[in-house]
Amino acid sequence: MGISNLVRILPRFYYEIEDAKEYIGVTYSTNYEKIYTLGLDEDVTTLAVNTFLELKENISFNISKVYFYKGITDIDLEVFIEATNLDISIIQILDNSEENGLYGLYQCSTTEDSIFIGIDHPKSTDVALQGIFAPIAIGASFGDGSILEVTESKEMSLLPMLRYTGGFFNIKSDGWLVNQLKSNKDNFITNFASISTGKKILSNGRFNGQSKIGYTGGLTCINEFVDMALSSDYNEIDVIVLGSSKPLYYRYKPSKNLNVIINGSGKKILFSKIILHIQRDVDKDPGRTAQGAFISNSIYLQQKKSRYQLKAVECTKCLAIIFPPRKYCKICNSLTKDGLQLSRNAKLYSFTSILKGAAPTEFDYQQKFEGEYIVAIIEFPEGPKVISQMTDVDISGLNVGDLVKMVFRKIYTQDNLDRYGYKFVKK
Amino acid sequence: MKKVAVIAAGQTPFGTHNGKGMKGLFQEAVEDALASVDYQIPLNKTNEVYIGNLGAGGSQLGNPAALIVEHLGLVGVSARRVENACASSGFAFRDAIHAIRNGADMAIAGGIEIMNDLNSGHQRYWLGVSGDTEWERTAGATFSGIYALMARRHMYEYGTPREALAQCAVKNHENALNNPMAQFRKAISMDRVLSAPMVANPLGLFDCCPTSDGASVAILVSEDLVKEITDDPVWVLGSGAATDHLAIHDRQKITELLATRKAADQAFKQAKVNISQIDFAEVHDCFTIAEILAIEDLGFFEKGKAASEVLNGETSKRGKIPVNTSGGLKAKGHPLGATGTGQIVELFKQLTNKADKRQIANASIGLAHNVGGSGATCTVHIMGKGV
Repeated sequence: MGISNLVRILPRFYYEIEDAKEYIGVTYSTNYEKIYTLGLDEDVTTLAVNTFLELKENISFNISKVYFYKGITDIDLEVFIEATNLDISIIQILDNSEENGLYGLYQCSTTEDSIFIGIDHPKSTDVALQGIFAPIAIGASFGDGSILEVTESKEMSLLPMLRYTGGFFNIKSDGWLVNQLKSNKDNFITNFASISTGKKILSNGRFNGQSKIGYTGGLTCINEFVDMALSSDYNEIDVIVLGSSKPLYYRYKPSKNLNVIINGSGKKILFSKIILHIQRDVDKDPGRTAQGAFISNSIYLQQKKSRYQLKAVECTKCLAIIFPPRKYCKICNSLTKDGLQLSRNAKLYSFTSILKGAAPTEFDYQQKFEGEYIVAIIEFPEGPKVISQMTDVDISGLNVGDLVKMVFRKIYTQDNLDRYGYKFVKK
Repeated sequence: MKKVAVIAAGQTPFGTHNGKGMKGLFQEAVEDALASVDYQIPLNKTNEVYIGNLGAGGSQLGNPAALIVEHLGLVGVSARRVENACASSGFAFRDAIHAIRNGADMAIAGGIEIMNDLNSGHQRYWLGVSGDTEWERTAGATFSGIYALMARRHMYEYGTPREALAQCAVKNHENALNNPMAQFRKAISMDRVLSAPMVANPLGLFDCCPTSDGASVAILVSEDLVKEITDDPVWVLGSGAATDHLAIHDRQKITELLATRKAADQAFKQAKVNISQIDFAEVHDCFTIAEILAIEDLGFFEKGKAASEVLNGETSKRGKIPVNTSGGLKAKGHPLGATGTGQIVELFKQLTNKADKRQIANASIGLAHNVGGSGATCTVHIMGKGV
């Protein structure tokens, strides 16, 4: 058993470690594989969608109920549901209050096959809670830092590794986490809710009163994560740090007792893989109307099943799979019918880069900050080819025939509406 | 089917023509056509006018043909704008041929584009409208990008060296030195092409045609009327045209333009000539890779084999098949709507022995190949002298 199967996405991890170095002289044996800057084409919605797609691809789970907590900003619930193909009938949308968010989490902990999805919660600590209560939880937030006050408490040691505040994470569990959850459920619910939110959960799942514990976060979490790892048999922790934050929000001085925890161990922790996503501090795409060929929102959204989910059509006669969809088969001209969803895994057929300043005007914003971008033809195993941008890659790292994978990203903003769709990353 | 003769063809210089507007520019092309021959042309016998044009910067999108014929002194004559992106006037020429074959005495086919008096934002506007906008444009693709995708795949499938692409540019610039109508009359070295900044990797700046203003025109008459004008016209031997999937990803292969193959097939059948009888060709080299694709798809060389022939100089003026003696789109210039009939001008000049320093000795049959966008539309015309 190990934590290697736990994909955890931590927001402030990098800065926590830097803080630890600076203030308490602790040096982790860290091996940063990559410090990754969150792309301009990513936001809370794309992070949540891509996590969901990864989850679905890597573990099989039946979802009977989805508690969807909609935060206060920037969340595109409709886009998320469309892109993940979630069955709307099983979704319970919780309105925008902290209690509702926690209530959904609580319900998840008592319902088999339920999933909690929280996006852009105003209190990033609650997003962290998703992992405690729900068997499977997806959260995305560009947490604003909450209240970062380190408090020592005995409750914290129950499952310290789960108390990461802010950011975005998912749990790819082999059952360990779920089992922990089940065996300690009552304690978890009461204690962790109160740690995180300062409120107690009553037996009916609602919240009441103020806890004396209050908010936690920051370096505490890191240290207790380390502490937990040290007290177990894990020598290698495969951590993916994925989240976003602005560094200045998270610079604070940790309290002394944490120093003891770290230095007292004497064990070496190897973080084998750390990827940090940082949201870029740039102005939002002004989303002007495109010059030249104008693709209206109605045309764009009419094709969203294809743009979001790679939905293809199938020829009723020659059985060819056609993408993008069309009414008549492009090979034998017979009628087509709704077909399968194309594989997310495909091959690079050809590629190029578009010089900065040469792109269509709706990509001006992308080019202003990212310079040239890569346009590729992708070939799916089912047969169709499609033209798409490649993202998170430099042209020097590409070869025809490379394996690539579809990700959900923002394409551009037009008429003040973000347009989402597929892009591809190198596998 | 009536035979169709071309009795005159002319053009403005391709390049920059600020301030002339559509009517002034087109007048200039017609004046050049009339001056290109030593016989009188009864323009008043014109029955139909076809004007190829993509957009002229949006200045006269609606009804430009009426404006143009009005300023040719032909008010009242049936006229229309023909739009098939960069193949607009190739199709205008084909439409004029059909008009004559169907009974017209005289038809004018021409093309016009004004691109250089636009700022870069407007230029991108007019260049990004001819692909499959719903899928190609929303992926951020440009035309140079689409051709670069073809180039990369061609290199991958056939081992085509980057130098073969560059050689097309070097050769076309050399040809343009002898064409007073060309936009770039300046030789470039292989090194310069290879070291130029990338526009759409692997295509660099010198792999791409320029943006140009210009107009071109051809005057066509029936075999009956031609007898009253000249004994020795240039004949249209064959006309072919085809379309293909607009989006590159919808095509089975991206290392060939199927529309070129289909259009060529029709043109050759109609002309009853074979590829070895063609003395020279004007092909659509909007990007260097496009010239490689064209000379393969037209049948001058086997698929995947053109690169070595190009590097051996077989497409130069002294080679097996001189290609783009005018300088091509690359060096003569590419005013989108004017390019198709611009190629006809070069065929006319070569076939009437008026191509001066770039004249090919004993040229009797020429081929013009005009492509719209990334290959969704295409015309191929074969013209001959004394046949």
